[in-house]
Amino acid sequence: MKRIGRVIFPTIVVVTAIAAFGAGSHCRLMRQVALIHRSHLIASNGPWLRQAQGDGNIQKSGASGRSVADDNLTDIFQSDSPYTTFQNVYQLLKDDYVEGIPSDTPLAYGAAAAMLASLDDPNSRYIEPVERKAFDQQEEGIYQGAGIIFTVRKAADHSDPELVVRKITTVAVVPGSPAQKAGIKTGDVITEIDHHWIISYDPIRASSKIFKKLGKDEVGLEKAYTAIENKIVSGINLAKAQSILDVTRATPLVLSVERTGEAKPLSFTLDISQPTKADSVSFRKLNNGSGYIHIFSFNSNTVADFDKALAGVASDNGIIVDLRDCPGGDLSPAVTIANSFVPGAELGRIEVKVAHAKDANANLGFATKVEPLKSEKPVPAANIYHGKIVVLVNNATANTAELLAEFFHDRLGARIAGQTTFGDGSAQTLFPMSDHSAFTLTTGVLQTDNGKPFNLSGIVPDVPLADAAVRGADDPCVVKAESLLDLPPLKIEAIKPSEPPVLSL
Amino acid sequence: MSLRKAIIRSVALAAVGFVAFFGGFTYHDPTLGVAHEHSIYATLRNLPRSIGIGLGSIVHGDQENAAKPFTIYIDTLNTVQAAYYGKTASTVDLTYSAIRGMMASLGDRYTRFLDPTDYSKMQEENLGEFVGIGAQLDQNDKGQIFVVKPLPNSPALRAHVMTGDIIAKVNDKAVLGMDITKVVQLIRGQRHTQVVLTIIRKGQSKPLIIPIIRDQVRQEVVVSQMVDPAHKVGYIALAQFNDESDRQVNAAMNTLRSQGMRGLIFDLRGNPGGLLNVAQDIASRFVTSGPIVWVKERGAEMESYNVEPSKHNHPRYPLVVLVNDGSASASEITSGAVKDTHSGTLVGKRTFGKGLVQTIIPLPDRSAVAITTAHYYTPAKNDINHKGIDPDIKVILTDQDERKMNDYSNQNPGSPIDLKYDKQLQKAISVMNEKLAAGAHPQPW
Repeated sequence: MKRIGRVIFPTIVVVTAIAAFGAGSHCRLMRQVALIHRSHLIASNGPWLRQAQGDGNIQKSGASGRSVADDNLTDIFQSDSPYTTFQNVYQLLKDDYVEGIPSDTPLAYGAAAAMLASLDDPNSRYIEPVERKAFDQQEEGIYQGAGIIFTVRKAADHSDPELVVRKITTVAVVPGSPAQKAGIKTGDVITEIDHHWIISYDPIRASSKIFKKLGKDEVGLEKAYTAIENKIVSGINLAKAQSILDVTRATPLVLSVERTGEAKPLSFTLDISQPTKADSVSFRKLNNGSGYIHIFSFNSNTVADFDKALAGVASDNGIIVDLRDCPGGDLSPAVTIANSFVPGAELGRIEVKVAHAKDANANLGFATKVEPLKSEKPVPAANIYHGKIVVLVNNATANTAELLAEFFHDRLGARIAGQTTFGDGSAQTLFPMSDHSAFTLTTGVLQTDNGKPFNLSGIVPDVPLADAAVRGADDPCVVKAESLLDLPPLKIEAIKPSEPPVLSL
Repeated sequence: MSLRKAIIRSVALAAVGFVAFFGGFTYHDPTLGVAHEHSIYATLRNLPRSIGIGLGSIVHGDQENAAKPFTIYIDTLNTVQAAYYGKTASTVDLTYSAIRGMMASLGDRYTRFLDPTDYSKMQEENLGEFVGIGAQLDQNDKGQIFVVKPLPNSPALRAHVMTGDIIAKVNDKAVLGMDITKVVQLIRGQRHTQVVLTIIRKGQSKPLIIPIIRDQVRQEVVVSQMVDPAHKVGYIALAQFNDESDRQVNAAMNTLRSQGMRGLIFDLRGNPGGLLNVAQDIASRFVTSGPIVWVKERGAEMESYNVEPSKHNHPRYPLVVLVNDGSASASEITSGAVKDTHSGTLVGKRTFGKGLVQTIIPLPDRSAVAITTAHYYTPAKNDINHKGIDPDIKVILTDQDERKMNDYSNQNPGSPIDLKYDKQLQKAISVMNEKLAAGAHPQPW
């Protein structure tokens, strides 16, 4: 599941890639096609088109251009606006496509998916109804599919800086999930699903050295193109890959994974026939009386679960807030939790686009503004916890969790112990559509409450610790964190203004 | 054969660009949103958790379950332009992407969108004319762009550009090692404008500076030769079926006829097709009467395109047609007509197998769509889609054969016919000679 810092999961990948790649390569063989030229160009009215365009500029002219004695002329609209072009194309397909079009649904999905794909942001994609149901369930702590919380990262290939590679990177695995049982870890990059290559880079670009070597060897070139074409046709695009990972199915899922430190890819077979239920919060009292609360994700259960946990373990000896293996989640529960500790303080900030603004930000090419992430909800003084806090983090602490960690540090002087966090400040929004599909869109970049961006760099702990191999009673990180509770809190940071925006997806 | 190679090369290079583009790995220039009143962003700001649900209202209140493409396109476009944190392309480009996605969902690679650039390129291809200087170019192993030959009646010919000339600069821009399609782009331009070529010619100590005025140039789609002079076997190769093709095939037949041709080898190998009516015209030159092809649109009866008797302005020649897996569409219509009516012998390799017809419909914004609107069938009503047409006599070229033909062609750019290594052509000639020896000869229709 793609973690959503906010409300939506980014996705989208070139849905049309396969068809288009195939089409492109076959252009080699099949450039021209048998054609009949037709004319058409008989204008007519259509109320629904006017509504969309906002202007009623439809020409009522006669036929022009070549005329063909043909009864099957399709009416098209005589406007050159892009909206009209879309509707004209749709109408022509419905009327003239030889196989007929029984359902509009794939056309609608195809259109939205391709538009989002053209943004070239793997975290913005179209989500079909089946997968959207899975997303909605995540809000309740039910995880379908593999149970991998991942993000798609863009990186340049080391041997060819012009070649961009997009990697499905594991942020964390859901406790008790098929992925966890199989041994998938933070940082694992998924490269194949069911032995199909995930189309994560342009294979033609990647083969440019081979093409150079082949030079004028037409036979070799043709073979190379055919090989690439086959690779693409049998591959899965990023959007489809993400959706396969997120949905339950009866047959086992085979994943090929690249792991740092392993020379060869690893293979895992997962039984994803059952969804995984995972609590957003777990807690216990520690031996010396301090409280321990682990947050796994921020969803619709988290505020209630956290309140219950805090009530259960709050003590004068302090609490350990464990944000290890917490890939993030919705912003709203985190805002509420932060507010319950320091009413009115910002959990963090989000930099978003200013729609239709005239001034462009020189770095980005569009105007942005920074919005606070905070709640106005009043908190009864008796409910505010005043004890000491130590925060535990690791490299699977991401997004919303990174904000909360830094919030405790800056506003309450809590020490952060553990490893540098994942570094994902990208915020997405889920836009539902009327037909139960949806799309995710990258809508902002998160900054800490002191206006610091942390994308890619992550948050560096005050007290570096090696991560523990096991969680639970003998966890050395928890033991160390307990000892840190004895220290006086750090100085509370002054609030600084935001740094200039830096966009990197 | 250099013509075919030139087309394959330019197609391959264009395909790379095309594929790369569709791979979604290009960058769009940043633009700001379109002026729309709907402030999705405001909702986003105010409802941090319920953003998703709150924005259900962006869809125009429809409760229907079926997804309407236009509604979803508009909603997505509006949202992206208002809220996407990142560079977005223009409304036009986003729309074109959506259209391409919509069409791709049909799973038919031939049903596709042609943006204004694509469409004008296609029109040029179909017309068989373009504006330039009329020099056929190729690139050698050293990356040098050289002239294969100047086309007849072309500005290049009039400016005395010669076969073998190496183009060092175009308008003072050095082109060594450049992509050949880019060089072509530099050389082409508006009619009656000037382009200056810096040329290195063998035997000349200094480079030649040649200014040339661009003009309308006819594409050469035909290569012809009396390939076996002793037995008067003629040869015509056709690269594609466009508006120039029939005229040039006719002219070639005239020339060969005046040289005493007794039998014709018609080469459609690597010819990817073209216009349907041109296939009808050209096939009519080889078939006596009746249907050339049957065409069936959705919900309609099969309609035939018949032989045009006006194309019988030459005798009926003993005929061998060369085909291979690069012969597609209009090439299959032609060779299918020849085969089914027993008008000639097919030699070579099974054809591509495209039995579909597209209609190109221009749109008011200068783009166009190509939509598969019909299936076609051979005169005997065979459906060759995904099957291809089997030649009467199979001649397979091995990789080694093809490499040898390639090398020969690279070393002899001006001479498209390879009698040394082209086994399919050799077989075609021997089949023709058998026919002639058995008494076949040109006949009145």
